[in-house]
Formats: sequence, structure tokens, C-alpha cells
Amino acid sequence: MKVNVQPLVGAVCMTYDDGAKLHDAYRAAFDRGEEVVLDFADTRIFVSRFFNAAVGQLLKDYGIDEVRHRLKFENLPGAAVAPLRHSVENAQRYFHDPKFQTALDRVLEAQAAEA
Amino acid sequence: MMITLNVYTLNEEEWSYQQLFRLWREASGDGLDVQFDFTGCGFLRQNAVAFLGGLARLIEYRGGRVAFAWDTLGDAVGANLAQNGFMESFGGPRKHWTGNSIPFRHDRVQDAHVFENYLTQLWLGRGWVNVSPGLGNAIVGNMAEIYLNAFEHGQSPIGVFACGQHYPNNRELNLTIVDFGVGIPSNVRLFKAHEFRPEQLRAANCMEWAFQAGTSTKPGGRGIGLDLLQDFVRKNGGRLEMFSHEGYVLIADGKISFAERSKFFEGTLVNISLRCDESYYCLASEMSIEPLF
Repeated sequence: MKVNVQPLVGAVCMTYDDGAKLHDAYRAAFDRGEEVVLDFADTRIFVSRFFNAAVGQLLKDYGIDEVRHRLKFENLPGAAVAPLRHSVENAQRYFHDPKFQTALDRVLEAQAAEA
Repeated sequence: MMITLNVYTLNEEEWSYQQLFRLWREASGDGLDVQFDFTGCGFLRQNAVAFLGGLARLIEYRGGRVAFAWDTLGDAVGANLAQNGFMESFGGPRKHWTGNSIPFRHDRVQDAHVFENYLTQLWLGRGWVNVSPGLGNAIVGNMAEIYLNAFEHGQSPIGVFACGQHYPNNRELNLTIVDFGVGIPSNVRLFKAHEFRPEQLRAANCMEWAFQAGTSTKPGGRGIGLDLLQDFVRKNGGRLEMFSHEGYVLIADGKISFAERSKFFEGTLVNISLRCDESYYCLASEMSIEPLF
């Protein structure tokens, strides 16, 4: 399966909601065992939150090797590399370090309660 | 009873930040009637403009009233505050215009796309920084990370304030983003609560922790880490200062340092300077390294 990112979320990939939209567009195919290609042609601005939703949450259910093997990127601009890598590395830690996960959840729950 | 707060010449050295945090401290309290007097002010940098705008809105949020003594402004400071729209935002006598300043901005709610447009069109996109479009996009993305962090972790009841300035003589492009929320040390102390009592973690230690790799970003979308930003500023020869509580971070000349300051400020202020010369920057090709992860 191939997903063209720009028609789906626009050229600016900054928000969690847009990342979730991209994740939702390919998740079923990924769960069926298909290879998924994300084509980033004509996108330009990237923030790690976008990739947290679009890619990072895959690490909850899949190992890093499987994600590497079956999730492919085409036309990924240089500006996207650091936020994508950052997001995946942190997702890997979050989902595989229970102590870290518990501590971070505590902070985010407190923030949500005060918001 | 009205209290008068004197605003002096404010640049980017430590004394100026102490003055800003003094003003914040003197304006704390509910229902204050505050006047800002600029008699002793010969210059205001973008950090002071963003901070003063935020402080005025904070006073109002707490049920107080704010007046700016516009007639105490010198010509240069008055022109600056008019040009960047600060004066117009607070009912002053002159409208903004386009010059070397980047407009004063107040976002009550998070709007990533509007802020991206501000950065792309009004800050970076004026032809002042000679970088490739790809690298320009990376710069905007990193600034947007600061803005989104301020909203998501600052918990500022009045939103986020920003102001920029281009200094053609120094070939610098600057941006300040400030919030009046709970501050980074509060979040870090909460995170580390299972290991340390709050008083055991100094603010500078909390800042250092927040800048370490792997301390950030829940895959659910929010994060408290700043390591991505640190990496970008260091690689690109920029300068970044961050103040939160008594914690202080400086990234300059490719190095990062942390310190404890005497003046407390509860929110978070980030001041960043970029050099307007492409020779200081990584080439876009250096940013694309396989494997991706």
C-alpha cells in the first residue's frame, strides 16, 4: 500500500491530529502484514509530534525491526529526518521501559488535570 | 492604588533578564493597577518586548489593569514598539509597519499552522537568512517545537508570546518565545518524584535532564524533552538561552551549559539567535542519513 502524505494532511506536518490521520490511513494495511510506503513528496515542515502519532505509536504493537522492514519512506525531505528519528527512538524507549513510561504518564496526567 | 514599574534599557545580558524577572515579581498579586514607565529606557530587544507583553496580559488575567506611559518612550524605543505592533496591541497611538522587526505575537490558544506561517513569512522568509529552502524548513520546524512545547507543557493560562528582530549590523536573526506557566523544573520534578523529593532537584539539574536525549515525547503526542532542539542549535552555530525558575541553559559555540540563577521566574523564556550566513549551517544533504531509524 502507498499513501501520498501531502494530499492527506497538506505540506505542513506539525500536529498530532494530522499524524493520527496518516496513521489511520495505513494502519489496517500494516496490520494485515502488507508493506506500507509513505510518500512525502511536496511536504516541507515537520515537528516530532506529527511523527509520534504517524509512526511512533506503531512501536506499541510492533518491534523496531518489523517497522523498519515494512514501513518505507519515499521523497522524505531532509528536514523530516531528525524529527522522525527522534520520535521513533523515544517511542521505542517509552514502550519498552516500564519505569520511564510510568514516570512520563504521571507527568502528563498531572498536566491534563491542571489544564 | 497604581504602582509604577520602571522599564530600563534591556538587552540580552544577565542584568537585563534580572530586570525582567524583577518586573514579574513586583507585578505578582491579584488586582494590581500597574503603569509601565520607559523614562530610563534607551533600547528594548525582542526578549523584553515579548516578556513585557506577556506580563501585561498576566496582570490583566489576574484582575488588574495595565497602562503604558507612551509619552515616556524615547524616539527609538517608540519606533520599535510601534513597528513591531506592540503599541497597537495595547491601545497605543501608532500603528505597526514593516521594517527590521518581526511582529509581537500573542497566541491565546495553540494554532500550529498560524505560527508556522508567522515563522515562514514574517521571521525567516524575509530574505535575511541565506539558507536553502530545505534548511529553512528545518529551522521553522525546530522553532515550532518550542512553540508547541510552551503550550503543551507550560500550562500558561494566558497563552504564549513571541517577538523577533533582525539585526543587520550583527547579521543576526532573533526570536523569543515566552510563557507564564508552571516552568520546566515543575514538570521534571513531577517526573522524578519516585526518585527525589522536589527540594533535592535544583532547577539547573532539571533543565539539564530535560535536554538529555530520550527524556522526551510520549508516543501519544506530547513530550517534555528538548534534545532535538539542542542538537539543531549546536550543529548550526546558533545561540540559545532558556530561563525557567532559577534554571538557566546556554547553547553557544557548539557547547551547552547549565547554571543556577538567583532570580526566579516561574514560566519559561527561550531566546534564540541565528546567524544570517549559510556558511554556518549544515548542508541539507548532511541531514539525510540512512538508516532513518
